[in-house]
Amino acid sequence: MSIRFFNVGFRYARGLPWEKVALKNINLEIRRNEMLGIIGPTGSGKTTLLQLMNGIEDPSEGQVLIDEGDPARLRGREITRLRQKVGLVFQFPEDQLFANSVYDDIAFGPRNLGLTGSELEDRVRWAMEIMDLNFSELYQRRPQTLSGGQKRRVAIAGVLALKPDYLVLDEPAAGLDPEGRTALLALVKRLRKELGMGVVMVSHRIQDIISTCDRVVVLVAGEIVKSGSPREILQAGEELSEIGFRLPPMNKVLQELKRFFPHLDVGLIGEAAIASEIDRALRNQ
Amino acid sequence: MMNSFTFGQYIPGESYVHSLDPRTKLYLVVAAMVAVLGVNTLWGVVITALFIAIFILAARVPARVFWSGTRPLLIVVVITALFQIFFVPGEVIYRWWLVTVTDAGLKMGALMTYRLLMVILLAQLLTFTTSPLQLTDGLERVLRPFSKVGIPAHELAMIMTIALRFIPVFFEEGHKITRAQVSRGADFRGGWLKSAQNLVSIIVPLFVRAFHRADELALAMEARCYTGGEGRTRLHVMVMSPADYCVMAVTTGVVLFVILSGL
Ligand SMILES: Nc1ncnc2c1ncn2[C@@H]1O[C@H](COP(=O)(O)OP(=O)(O)O)[C@@H](O)[C@H]1O
Ligand SMILES: [Mg+2]
Repeated sequence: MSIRFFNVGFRYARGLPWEKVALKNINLEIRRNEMLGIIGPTGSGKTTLLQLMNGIEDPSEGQVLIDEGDPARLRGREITRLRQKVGLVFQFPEDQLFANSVYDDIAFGPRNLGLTGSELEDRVRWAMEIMDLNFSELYQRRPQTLSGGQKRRVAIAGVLALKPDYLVLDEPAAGLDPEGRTALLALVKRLRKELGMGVVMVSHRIQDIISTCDRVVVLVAGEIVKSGSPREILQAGEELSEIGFRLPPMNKVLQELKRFFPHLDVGLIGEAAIASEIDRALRNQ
Repeated sequence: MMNSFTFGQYIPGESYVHSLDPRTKLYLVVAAMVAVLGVNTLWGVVITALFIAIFILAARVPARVFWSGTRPLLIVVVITALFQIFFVPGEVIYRWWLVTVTDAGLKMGALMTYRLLMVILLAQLLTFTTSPLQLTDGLERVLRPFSKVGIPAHELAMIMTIALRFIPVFFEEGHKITRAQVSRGADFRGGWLKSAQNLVSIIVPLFVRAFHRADELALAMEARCYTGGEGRTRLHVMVMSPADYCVMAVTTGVVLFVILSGL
């Protein structure tokens, strides 16, 4: 079971003078129980790529298959059912909150699927619990009165409540304070671990992706220029710096030190591991 | 959907029409609209059509762009034409069941189609070749004499600038929110009651965003000491060239011809 891209291209404003090629020749597979990170500078086509994943946009060239279903060919109920497999969390999803209570907002999706009564309530409770939101404390609150981080989690819970097989998140931590960012990333990581979802996360911060994902795809100007494990991506750090990516500070330090200590392993993740590697190099000298 | 939304957009270019003074273009478009709406002779139609065609060709905007701006409005044109064809009384030339077509109806239908299409094309000609800033500057200048009788020319122009600037943003935001709710299973094809409920999920966030934006904009303008039109100078001073006077004269000629030929 997977979402697969075959030679996918996407163009905005087709046939108009300001036509814009947003994606070129994308080949990609996203499996369940895998966490894929996409990094790329602004305008590289990350958001466009995500929208192709649940058929909200259809490719201009090539084909996207969601568990063998082709969203570009389905209509009506069938496409709604296929879309339900892939929960899409837009950037700044809290902008889409509209209901008078947290409960009603999260229940919007499941209600559209036809859930009612205790089944509906169970679903909302479940989604809130996963997103670390206290049900009895928050379910009656107006979304506008919550903190930024809480609003964001309510919005994500609203998508989770559809019980998708895959969850696709566009810059989920953008605009949050460092604490909120860490907390949210930890929650996203849990989705894959505990629920076995396929998770796709977009960010322009390498650090967020490296620390949470199993596999990383680097998107530049609409093309995949590199893909591999976080370790492999960091080992190509020099290349990435040249394209204009900012490495996590500690990895930057490693990169610079490698000039003097050629045997340093630049693919390490996390400050503790990096610190002991540097320590080792200094001792061996 | 959003990508094919070209009506009202500015298409930067170097054409002869682009370089005309915005006041000239305002005059040209408004006068030509008046002429087209008043036209009722064959000669009038021929002359106005030629006149408008010359400017559309000179604007060097691809026909496809005009077409994609006109297409969404065609339904209005067709409905209006059908109304004329079926309901204008006259000599009956075709009858089937409840439907009757008269000669006068056909003529009016054709004329209405022509008028509406030309008005749509003229409006597009103006926005395609004039940047929103030029457009509002021009409008402000045209309205300035009326500020003596209490019409707030500068404020009106500022409102229009802001509106023009934010209409695409508003559409884009609406588009984005719609997609977000659709991916949460909102269905706009079901019954109308369900659709209306789902519509709330789009309209509420859209307005919240719009008010938020308005607040931010007001704050940003105040922080830059904006106090209205009093004593404000301009970066680009508008100057009328001989070409502008020429275009205005020809436009006046066409309008006069249409009026006189229709008498
Ligand atoms: N609705 C649109 N119409 C036209 N061009 C667009 C639209 N949305 C995005 N683009 C263009 O497509 C490219 C990719 O955009 P996007 O996928 O939003 O990039 P990212 O999310 O990586 O910043 C950009 O160059 C952007 O300007
Ligand atoms: Mg984006």
